[in-house]
Amino acid sequence: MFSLQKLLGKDDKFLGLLEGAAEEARHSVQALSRSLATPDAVLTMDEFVQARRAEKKIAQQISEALVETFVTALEREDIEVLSETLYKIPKTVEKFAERFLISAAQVKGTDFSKHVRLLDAATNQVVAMVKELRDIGEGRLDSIKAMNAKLQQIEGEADELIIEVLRDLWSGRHETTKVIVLKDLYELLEKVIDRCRDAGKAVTHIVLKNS
Amino acid sequence: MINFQRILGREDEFFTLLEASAQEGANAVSALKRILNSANGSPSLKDFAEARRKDKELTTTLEEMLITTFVTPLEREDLEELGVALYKIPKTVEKFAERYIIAAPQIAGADFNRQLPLIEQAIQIVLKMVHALREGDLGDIKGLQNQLQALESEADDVLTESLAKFYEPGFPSLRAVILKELSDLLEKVIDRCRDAGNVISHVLLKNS
Repeated sequence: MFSLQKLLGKDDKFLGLLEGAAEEARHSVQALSRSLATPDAVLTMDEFVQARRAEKKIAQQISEALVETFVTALEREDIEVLSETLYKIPKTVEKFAERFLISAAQVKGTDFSKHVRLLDAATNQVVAMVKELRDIGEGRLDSIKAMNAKLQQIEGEADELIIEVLRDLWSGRHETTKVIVLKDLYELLEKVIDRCRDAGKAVTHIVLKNS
Repeated sequence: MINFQRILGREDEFFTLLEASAQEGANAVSALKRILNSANGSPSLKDFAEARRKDKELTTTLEEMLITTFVTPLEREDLEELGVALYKIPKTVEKFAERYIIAAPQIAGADFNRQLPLIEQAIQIVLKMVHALREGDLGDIKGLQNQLQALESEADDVLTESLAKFYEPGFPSLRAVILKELSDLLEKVIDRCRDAGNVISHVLLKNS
């Protein structure tokens, strides 16, 4: 049967999917926080793989809905960019988890708590910003700019943190293999926050365009 | 009241922002030269952070103008791409400087004097190319782009020579790890200049 609603737009569906994608990104970071908070526990990949798969499924649903839908409230390129950016968050978290798992012997006892705090703050901010898309229009720009500024600040803190850990790693106090492994891991965590920043930028771009 | 100038275009402002952005890249490279030449001073990150912060502001303004301006002098995707490419120059220079400073005790005597002149030449070419954009002057743009490509290729060779040294048996491993990271970052600065040059050539050719 010909469905006019299907052809003309499913704004709520897109917003729901984007919110779901942001939530999955947050789930993967929460799983990572739990794993890193208990360093003696045996890390398994299941939860990270599931989060990434769920995110992938949502990204596919968005792609398909974009093809089927004639009119979207938000520009389709913007929806695509945001969806792709959100997908990269759990993907990078999964990559970190894989490397963490294979280097467990080298990184035992490493404190990632500062990174975890920033990761939690960044993903919470992304979820809140994506939810703001339901109310875009006049008067929302200042609010989203303030939220984006907060996200940029978190990203700035992550940049400073990587310098702090490199200062220690390059001090000559550590064995070189450990330096290589930990640098790789720290940079992946920084990349997760960069991905959150990219998502925040994509949301801000949409709000600016629609304000 | 409807502001037609706002809707229809702010051509001059776009070019001014792009030129200022390229200039911040050049300022960052000047600061890089000072830091690499101050053998025993205590180098500061202030100049780098300032250049990158200003460039970030310029890029953000450019991106907002692209959304709020109805007619742009060049295609908006091209302007956006060039803005991002130019911003990455001071950003990469700052990244190098941060790491160079914290690694100082481990890399005493390290010599980056072969890479620095290549970077200085590359950023000067980028500046010339951005100015040519305002005039729509295709003139020698191909020649400038070829010079950038040649510099980038020379930088690749310099990096390979450096790596050969770091990989020699007996070279201190931590020093090798750090110097490789720093050398890679300097090469990336030239890559960023080449990227900006490629966007400008593309834009000028498209609009010639």
